[in-house]
Amino acid sequence: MTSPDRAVTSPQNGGVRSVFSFFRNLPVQIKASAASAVLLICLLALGTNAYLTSKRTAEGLRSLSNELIPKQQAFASASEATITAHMKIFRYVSWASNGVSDSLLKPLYGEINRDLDTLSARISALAQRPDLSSQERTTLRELLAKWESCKSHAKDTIDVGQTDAAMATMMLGQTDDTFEAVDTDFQNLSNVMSGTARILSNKLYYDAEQNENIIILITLAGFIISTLVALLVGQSIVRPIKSITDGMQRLSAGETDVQIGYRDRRDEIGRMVAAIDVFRRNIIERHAMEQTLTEAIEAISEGFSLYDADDRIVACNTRYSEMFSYGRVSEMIGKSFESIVSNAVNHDLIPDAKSDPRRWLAERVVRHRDPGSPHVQHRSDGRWVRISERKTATGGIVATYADITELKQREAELAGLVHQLEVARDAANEASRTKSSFLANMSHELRTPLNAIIGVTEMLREDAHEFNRSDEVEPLDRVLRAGRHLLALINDILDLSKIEAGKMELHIEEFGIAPLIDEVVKTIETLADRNDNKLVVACDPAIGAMHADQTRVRQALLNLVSNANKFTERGAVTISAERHRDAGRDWITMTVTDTGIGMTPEQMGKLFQEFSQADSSTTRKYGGTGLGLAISRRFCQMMDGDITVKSEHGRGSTFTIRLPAIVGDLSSSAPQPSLSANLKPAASDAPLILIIDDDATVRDVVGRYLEREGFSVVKANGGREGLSMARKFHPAAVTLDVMMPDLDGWTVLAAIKGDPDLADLPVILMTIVDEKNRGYTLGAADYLVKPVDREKLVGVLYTLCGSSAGHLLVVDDDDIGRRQVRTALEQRGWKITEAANGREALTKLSETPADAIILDLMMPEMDGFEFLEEMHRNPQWREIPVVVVTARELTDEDRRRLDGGVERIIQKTDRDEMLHEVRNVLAKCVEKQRNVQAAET
Amino acid sequence: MRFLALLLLAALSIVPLRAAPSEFGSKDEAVAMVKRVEAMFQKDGADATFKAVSDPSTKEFHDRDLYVFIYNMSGVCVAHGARPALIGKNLIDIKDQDGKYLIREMADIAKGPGSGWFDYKWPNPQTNKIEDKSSYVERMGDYFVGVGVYR
Repeated sequence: MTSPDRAVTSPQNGGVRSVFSFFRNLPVQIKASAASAVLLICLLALGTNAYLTSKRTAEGLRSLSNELIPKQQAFASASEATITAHMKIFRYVSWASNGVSDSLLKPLYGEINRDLDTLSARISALAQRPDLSSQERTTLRELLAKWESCKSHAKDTIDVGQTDAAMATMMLGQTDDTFEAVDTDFQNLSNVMSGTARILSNKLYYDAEQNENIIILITLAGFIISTLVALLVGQSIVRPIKSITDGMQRLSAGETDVQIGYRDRRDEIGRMVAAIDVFRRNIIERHAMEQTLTEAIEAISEGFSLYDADDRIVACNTRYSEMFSYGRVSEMIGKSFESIVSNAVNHDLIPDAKSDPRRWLAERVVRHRDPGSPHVQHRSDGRWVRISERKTATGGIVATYADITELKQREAELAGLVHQLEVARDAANEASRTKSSFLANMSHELRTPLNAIIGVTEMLREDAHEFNRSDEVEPLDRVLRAGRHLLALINDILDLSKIEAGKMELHIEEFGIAPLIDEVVKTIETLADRNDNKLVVACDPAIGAMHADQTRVRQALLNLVSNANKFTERGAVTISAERHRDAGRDWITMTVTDTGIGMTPEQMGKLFQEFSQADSSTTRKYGGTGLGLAISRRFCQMMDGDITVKSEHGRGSTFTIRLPAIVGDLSSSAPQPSLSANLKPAASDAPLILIIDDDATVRDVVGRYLEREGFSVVKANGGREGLSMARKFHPAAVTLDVMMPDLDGWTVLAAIKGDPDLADLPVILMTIVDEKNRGYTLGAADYLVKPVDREKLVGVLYTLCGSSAGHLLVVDDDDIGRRQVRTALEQRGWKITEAANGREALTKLSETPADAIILDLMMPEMDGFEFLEEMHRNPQWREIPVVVVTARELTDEDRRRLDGGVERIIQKTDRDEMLHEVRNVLAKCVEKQRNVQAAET
Repeated sequence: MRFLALLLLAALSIVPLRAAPSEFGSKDEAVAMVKRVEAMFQKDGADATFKAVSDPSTKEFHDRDLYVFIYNMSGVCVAHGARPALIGKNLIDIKDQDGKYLIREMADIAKGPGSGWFDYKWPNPQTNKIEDKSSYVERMGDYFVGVGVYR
């Protein structure tokens, strides 16, 4: 028997090799089954053979004992009986010859006769036995015949013997012969039977012998096969299992580089080896994991320990063991927390425990077993340890001991620093407040006298105009220009100083972009006209709103547009705006393009520097402070945007404002509630005036003027168009020329009055034809003769539209300022009451209730803030709209104080602009108030 | 069986030897007696002959040691002048002391030559001893008839 390995390497017999290989790869169960099957087959063969043999033997023996022996016995006894009978005959003849008496002979005679008859019956019975073979039957038949003759001889002999002994003796020979023949036959029969028996026994013997051989053969074969199978199974199971057991023992002893063979086998052994290999790799991984974990624990900067549910230490690092005066980590493992801490207490490591060690220890153990928030422990070496203990899921405890000595020191240092910082902060806050109030006061102090200068000079100039003192006009104009330049300079410097000081605050609010551009365009129109420039607006009306500091955006755009107009003559200035998306947020770009003188690259380099214009000569030629652009750019940069420029000398320039659509983070800084949001300049809010005139100049001049005065304007170039537009727009009023080519004014007037929809529409006839009566008869509201006095027209329109007329209280300590407002507003139909300070204003208010109030903030005795507070205490006055007009730079705090109490805050910078704004705001305020009243009634 | 035969021989050896010749019939007398039996058989028939032969008072067929015996061809004794016990017995197998089948051979003589002399041993009725005997046998119909002399 060769081992499977050797079988594999044996080159001479590929068949055997493949059989072994096949057998080796069979599952163990099948192998065992095969072995059992082979043994079973051997056993079965043995059993079957034994069964058949014993059955045959039993049959043979049965036939021997049941048939042959009784038969032979029957024959033998019959034969015996014949011999006995023969002897008796011989005795009879002998007795008869020797003269034995008849008394003795007679019974013998009878006995012999009976014997002979009995024998006849016996022998014929024998011949009729069913178990006779044919040979026996033949022999017996012959024997029976012989017997009959024998019997007759015998009977003859004794019969003769009765009377003739000599003759009987003579006849004995004949009897002897026949008896002998019978005897021979019996002998033959016996021989035949013994032959049968011999054959049978021979057969049995042969069977037995053969059986013995078969048994020996099967047993031998079974022994050899089962030995072979056992060896095979042993080779393919026991050896691998021994190897596996050996490998597993070595594995469990920690030898992880063990390699177990038989991995390539496809049976259970192969799978088992594969599983053990996985197991081995897991052990290696676990070892590595444990190693990593130990290293990680060791690398923790704090003392680390893990206790099991029985409060015995499972793992810790060197820092931890050192904290408890143990030399090595291994010395600690397995110790209970209580023993570790009590050891620390005994070594006087914990000063807190000194006073009552037992109680401290008990508390410490309780705290350890039911850990809460971290606590701090003072150590006798002066260090501080923060102890964090947490329960694990399995009921153990994880503890970290962080050395926070330095932290404690830092904390102390920090507390000192914080105190110093607080002192410094208070000082800084105080300084800042001082600075802020200085700046606010300074701006007021600078602007107020300058406003007075400008205002008085304007009045003087108007008087000079009125009284035709033309020699005075020119010097006054120079004063005015100088004054305005100074005012602008002061404004810019104040802005710049605020930016420099970081005091500039943004007031983020939401506003429409298109209205803003409209506003700028309207403001700049005069300047554009002066230089013969065309203003082009390219802005998508659907551009929507943006979220930024409206004032600053307007200022920057105004600056760019006014610059463009300054440096361009007889050209075009295009203002465009668009929204686009970039870097995750919406951006708004506003571009101002001119066809003016342009700039060289050197000029562009200095463009955004403070106090420098492209050329120092430009200041003289074009005016301006040279600060505007720098300030505008600073504003844009504060709003996360910028201003950029592209220019070509002699060809013009393009300035671009780029701002985020939503400045700042909406979520972090809530936008300031808008003070002006509800008063957005919107064309639709203003009363709509329809101008019907065939003269384009008249339409443009009147239209522009009315727009500046706060009206919306639509224009029609003739009577027909006028009528259709009147039907289409339903204007608030119509100015109508009389002399027109298609339909004259009278016809149009009649048509309007005849149309039920338009009958109420007020019509102002403006004509060179002086036919007032005709006009009034036809239903005209008013009749103005050309050239029309603009102020008068506006007055008439305001009266007709009813948009502004009411009682106005002007509160200002500066009488020039009050007079400016009065002059500007009285012609609009306002009744003006003046007050020099808050207290006076309250008195005036109680005498005559006002529809609106214009309020200065900086006033003696009672300033604007105080007045507002007082005013708002009276519920009757609370609803009166207040417009704040101030030269003061408002701080955030000022704005908060004003928030909700005023309609609008207007900066006193430029008089015209200011008055224009005041008129607009008042008109809207009154309208709003009327709406409220209408809604109430 | 052989043992029994030897015993028998031993028993027979005690028998004494022959008597004086004068008192015995001769061969001629034996033939003549046969001829008389045949004549009677021819004349009186079988039954009467057999009766006469077997009756010891019939002198014609009984003369000193001469007597007649008649057997059929099967060996059955039908008439006997000296030993009436034998009448009716089949003696075809009987042998003398020398082992001669005497009846069978006599029947053979009757069937073959028809008549002849035949030597054998047979008990003498006068001495009642087995003696040497010569008998003349002749065929007579379905039977053979014989008369012997003791020597």
